[in-house]
Amino acid sequence: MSAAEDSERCDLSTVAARLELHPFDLVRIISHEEPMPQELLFGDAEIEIIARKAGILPWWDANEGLTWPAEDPDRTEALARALAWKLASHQPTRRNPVRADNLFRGLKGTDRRRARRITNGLIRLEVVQSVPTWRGLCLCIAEGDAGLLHEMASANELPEGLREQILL
Amino acid sequence: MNEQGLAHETLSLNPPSAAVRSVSLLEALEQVFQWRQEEEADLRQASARMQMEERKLRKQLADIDARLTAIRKESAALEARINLLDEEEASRARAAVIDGLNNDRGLVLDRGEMISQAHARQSEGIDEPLELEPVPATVVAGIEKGAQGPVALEVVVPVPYSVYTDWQHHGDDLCARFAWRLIGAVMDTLRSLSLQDSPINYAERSGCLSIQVWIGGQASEQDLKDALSAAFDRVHETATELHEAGLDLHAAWLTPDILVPTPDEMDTEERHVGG
Repeated sequence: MSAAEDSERCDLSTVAARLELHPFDLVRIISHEEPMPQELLFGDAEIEIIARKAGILPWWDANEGLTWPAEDPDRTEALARALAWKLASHQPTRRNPVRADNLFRGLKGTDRRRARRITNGLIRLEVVQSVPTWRGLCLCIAEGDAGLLHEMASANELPEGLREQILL
Repeated sequence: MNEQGLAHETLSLNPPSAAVRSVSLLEALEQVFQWRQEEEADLRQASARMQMEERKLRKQLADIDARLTAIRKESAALEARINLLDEEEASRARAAVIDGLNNDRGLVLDRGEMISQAHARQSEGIDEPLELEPVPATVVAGIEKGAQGPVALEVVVPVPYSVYTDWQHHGDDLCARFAWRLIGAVMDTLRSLSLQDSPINYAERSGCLSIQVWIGGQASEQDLKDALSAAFDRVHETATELHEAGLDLHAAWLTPDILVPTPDEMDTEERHVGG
């Protein structure tokens, strides 16, 4: 590898920041199937492979949510309905769970914090369950609760328990 | 005179006079008295000697008894100290491990500072060769045993725990890289035993990073030790940043009770689940 190519490669902490992963989780993902490389520098192609191995998939794009009401609490409710719809569509199961951080990947600032709070609310209500894996914390829909998520996505009103938790 | 009369006569003629008889008796009585006096005096003297001897022996006996009691007490105290040796050894070993880890953590931090200064000068165009004397950086490893084999593996790395909790601050400094290499070594170990999906926790041990893996009896102790030692050797041979910093990786295998924190440390220890 040339010096120029080398200088374009990222160190491990930069890759971690770029993929929004903890470096320790990143090391675990890199070394799950093969030893760590001698030089801890990674090019774009390698970063893409790592992201795929990690199961990273942003659930939100930059323009999503622009049409939601700007003011609280309606924006939070709109976000909760959208998240419920995405969960019901992806249908993560215990065998095929989704990375927990995918649920708010792509969102920024306040919306990201809201999505985190909604996700935690769904875990507390046991609509969504935690699945610890070597990739990091993953989630699946609790058995029989996919219908509830569909209802959440389509109904104007959120379940009272969730409303209380996300609008604190 | 008949023969009997003669004999009687002889008898009547021969006995001593009454006065003579009285003196002899008195003398005899006197002698008896004298004998009694002398005998009693001798016996009393002997008895007194015996009593004195008895008192002396009793005193000696009391002294011996007191010494016995003292010896028994001292012996019990020594036994108690012998019984405490395991605990004392563990406590001293733990203190030595903590001192060693703190010392090595300081060395790694110092070397990290030197490396970062050298890199800063290089980026300014000042290319000074950095030749650092090798210093030992000792990693502490322990296996917790259960009835079915090793329950857990713990590796304590002499880097600040903040490489986990405040990783953005560390970036890719020497401490962070050292930690990543050791997590990589643990992963190599697990992979070689088909245990790469095992849960891993990160915790603080005396300010240092502890990598803790749940093994659940799925590997033998020897296989685990062999695999981890081989993985440490690979890190030692291939990790360029450790070579550059002159860090000479060593591993000390210790029993897990030495690594177990005191109740005070338990109260403040934070545990973080990482997968």
